[in-house]
Amino acid sequence: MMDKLALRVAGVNWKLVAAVVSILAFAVAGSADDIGPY
Amino acid sequence: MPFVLGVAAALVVGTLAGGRVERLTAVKVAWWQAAPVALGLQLLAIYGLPGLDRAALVAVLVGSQLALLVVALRNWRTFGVAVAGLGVAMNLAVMVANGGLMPISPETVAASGRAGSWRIGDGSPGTHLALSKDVIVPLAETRLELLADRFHARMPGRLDVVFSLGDVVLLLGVMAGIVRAMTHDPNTPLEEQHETDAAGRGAYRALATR
Repeated sequence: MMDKLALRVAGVNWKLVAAVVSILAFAVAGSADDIGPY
Repeated sequence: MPFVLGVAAALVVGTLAGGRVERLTAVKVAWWQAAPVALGLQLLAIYGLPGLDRAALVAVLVGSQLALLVVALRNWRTFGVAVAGLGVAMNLAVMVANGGLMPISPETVAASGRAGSWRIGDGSPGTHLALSKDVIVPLAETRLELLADRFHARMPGRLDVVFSLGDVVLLLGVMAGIVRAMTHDPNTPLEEQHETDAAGRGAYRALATR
């Protein structure tokens, strides 16, 4: 909670982070490509 | 990696086109939480539990991609989602048609340099490629072969990927959706945007002919 508060103070837009992460997650999970580090 | 670069490229194109990245937060996508959950389950099955039973691996991969397809169908009116969903459906179709994992031919495995025994085992048909969704299936035995993992990027480092037609369609849909969302006001109905675009083109033509 404190970390989240600190990042919000630092100006992180959590809704935007969630949107970009979700888009990436959709693309990678839906792909046939190798996922993650290897 | 190609998907990370594709999303990054779409963000750059959207910005250069005068869009704003904050507009991505205004796009309403029902059941969006399914995407990070699906990816988390896939990462767990592939990386967290490397010795996972084949049936369980198939259940996780097919189930998670099916969930993404449902999300795409639920949101198909959102720009780019129908195309991205088509890409997911193409990958899902070829995986289901070949037992639940993405088929890759021995020739493609060899051409892509995935030669380590830790990765391909003895390379025999039916072998699951470690840390991937792929299974080795001879070309002649692959159902829906056009949709299989059959293209090799021939690029350096992490860009040297093997990909499917569905991957290309999926990435195009995602990139188009990002650029559109960044450059259009999500609170304006699509029909109204088309009218505005048409009116703008008319005004431009009127000015150009003066």
